[in-house]
Amino acid sequence: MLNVTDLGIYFDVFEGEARVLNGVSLHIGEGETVSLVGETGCGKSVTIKAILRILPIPPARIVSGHILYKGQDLLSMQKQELYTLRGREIALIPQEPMTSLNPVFTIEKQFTDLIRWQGRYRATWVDRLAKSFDGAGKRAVRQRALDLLEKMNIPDPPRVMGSYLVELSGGMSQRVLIAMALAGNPSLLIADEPGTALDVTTQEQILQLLKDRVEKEKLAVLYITHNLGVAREMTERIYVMYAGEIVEEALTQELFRAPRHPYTQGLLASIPKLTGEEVVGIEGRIPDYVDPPPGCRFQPRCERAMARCQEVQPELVPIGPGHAVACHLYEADLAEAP
Amino acid sequence: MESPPALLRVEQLKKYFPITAGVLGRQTGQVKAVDDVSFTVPEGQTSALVGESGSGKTTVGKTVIRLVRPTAGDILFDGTNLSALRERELKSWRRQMQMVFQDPSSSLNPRRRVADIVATPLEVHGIGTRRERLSRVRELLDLVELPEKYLYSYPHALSGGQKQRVAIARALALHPRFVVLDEPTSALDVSVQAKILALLARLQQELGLTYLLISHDLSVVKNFSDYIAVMYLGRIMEMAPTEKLFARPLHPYTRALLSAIPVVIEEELEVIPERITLEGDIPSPANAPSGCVFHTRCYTVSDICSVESPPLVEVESDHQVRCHLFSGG
Repeated sequence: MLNVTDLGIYFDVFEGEARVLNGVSLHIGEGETVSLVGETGCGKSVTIKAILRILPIPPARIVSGHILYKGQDLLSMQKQELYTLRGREIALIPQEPMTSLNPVFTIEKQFTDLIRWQGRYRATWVDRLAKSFDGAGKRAVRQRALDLLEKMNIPDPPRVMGSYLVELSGGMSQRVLIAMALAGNPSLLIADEPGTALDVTTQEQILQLLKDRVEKEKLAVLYITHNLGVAREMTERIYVMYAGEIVEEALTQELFRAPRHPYTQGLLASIPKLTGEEVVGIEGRIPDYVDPPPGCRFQPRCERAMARCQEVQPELVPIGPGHAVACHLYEADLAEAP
Repeated sequence: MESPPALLRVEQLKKYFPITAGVLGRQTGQVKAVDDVSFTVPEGQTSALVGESGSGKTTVGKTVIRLVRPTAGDILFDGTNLSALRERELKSWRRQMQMVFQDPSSSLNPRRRVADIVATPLEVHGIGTRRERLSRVRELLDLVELPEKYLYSYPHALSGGQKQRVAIARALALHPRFVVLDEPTSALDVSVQAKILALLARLQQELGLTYLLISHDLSVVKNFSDYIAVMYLGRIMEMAPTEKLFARPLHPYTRALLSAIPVVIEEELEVIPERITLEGDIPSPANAPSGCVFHTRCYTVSDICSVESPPLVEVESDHQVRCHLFSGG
């Protein structure tokens, strides 16, 4: 359904050229839930911004690659055409509810604006004119918003509709945003860490709710997160991203059972476990994008780096069913056993 | 009890913030941020306060080192009651207790260099000459494993983990005995978090520090602390040594909190109770529910809960719970 191939995005910054995304490829099938996991600054937000075409160009520059949605190239698409997809078929749940809703308008105003905008390219102008006379359109739009809020388990939707952002709790405004994302009956949902700004028990509520809705409506989901535990719970397949590159791709079960890339292994070992296993971090920090290390971008922090790692950038190679790794350690294996 | 003597003993601590209205600032209500909290922190160990936002855990942390003046209650630090002391008398005690804040980007002054930031506590207490202070700063940076080349850097040039190292170095400048760690790693990535936690554990070993860890992350707390107090809306709901709390969580809130942890390996699921999803949101502390503060979200609620606040009772040695289910009913 969504096919991103060899996406390269550079940013022109004061210091020169920041090579942020370096050949990112990912694909999401119909009704599939996929996570993109990585730490701060690894390029996951840039990736989804590119997919949604909300990346500021300039300073950003797309240097390579295609983003195909159901066969259509999102990157070369006309604005008018894009509007029939974005906000309708492809919807975004933003990360921070507090900064994603406008504080000076009521929820009703923002929600009905959205629904009316979504209807704009569908209804003919005669329909619209007729509706605006009898007020039925307005009522229908309001009713639709109320229904959507109700489906998100929001108690007393009319009260929430009349509220301003400050009157709602974090969990409640996150639910409003999910309801808004689902308003256009999307088939692809991009979720940018919903719930990270919330408390554990509230986050748990939101995630369960989202999971239910996704299953019920058979949505495809691209779930962006830094939390492997959440990714494990929410999605079937995981891409691990480091410094603008996909380093590992695997089915969720497989990734947790047998992580292969040293970065994935390090990441898993860094998470404190309830079973009290020893916690090991990863030395160093994410590289400078203006002057990335030669070869593999993880090589300066890698404990198993070889001479070859500094020379050649490893490609993502399949090592098992649905499992691919970009690491020289596994290329050797592949060569030995054809 | 075989545990070491308490360095800090907090008794019936209360902190109410007034809510004022109008130009005259008339008090119209109060927020019971901390309500009747008692606990002890044994010397050389780590006690943790766990809770969600608005539970009052940070207020407790700030109150025990008297950054905030308590409304009532006693804070006995090494036998001295800090809650009764005046600011001037407090200054000498302040050398013994320090705090590391949550977000290093906002707790470090962006206009000062690392060397100045770390030397600040020494200056405030008038310790050493300029040269002696600088050598102490070098020593401290070495202690927190920050390369000396960052001595004259500004905070913006450092990564999150490095900034937190600077904040830790600053907190240790005066050889404190007691450090309050307020969510020391929640602004950091996991790979960095692991390094900072390892550093804090090493420092505790080497310097014999006593920690009060404030956190919402139960996985961190499980690995890092000896005692846990679970807070909800300004009250301690359950308190026990870490092992006991995880082996036998009793309070419905604790159970829900534990069950909500997103785990990464299968074996962890055996440690936590079966998934419980709580209804609703945490109520506003300004408008706390009557009776048991948790009753609005509790899944084992009964009639008495909305009427009477349950006392904190000891169900087994060292394990206290505030719930009617266990208060002898």
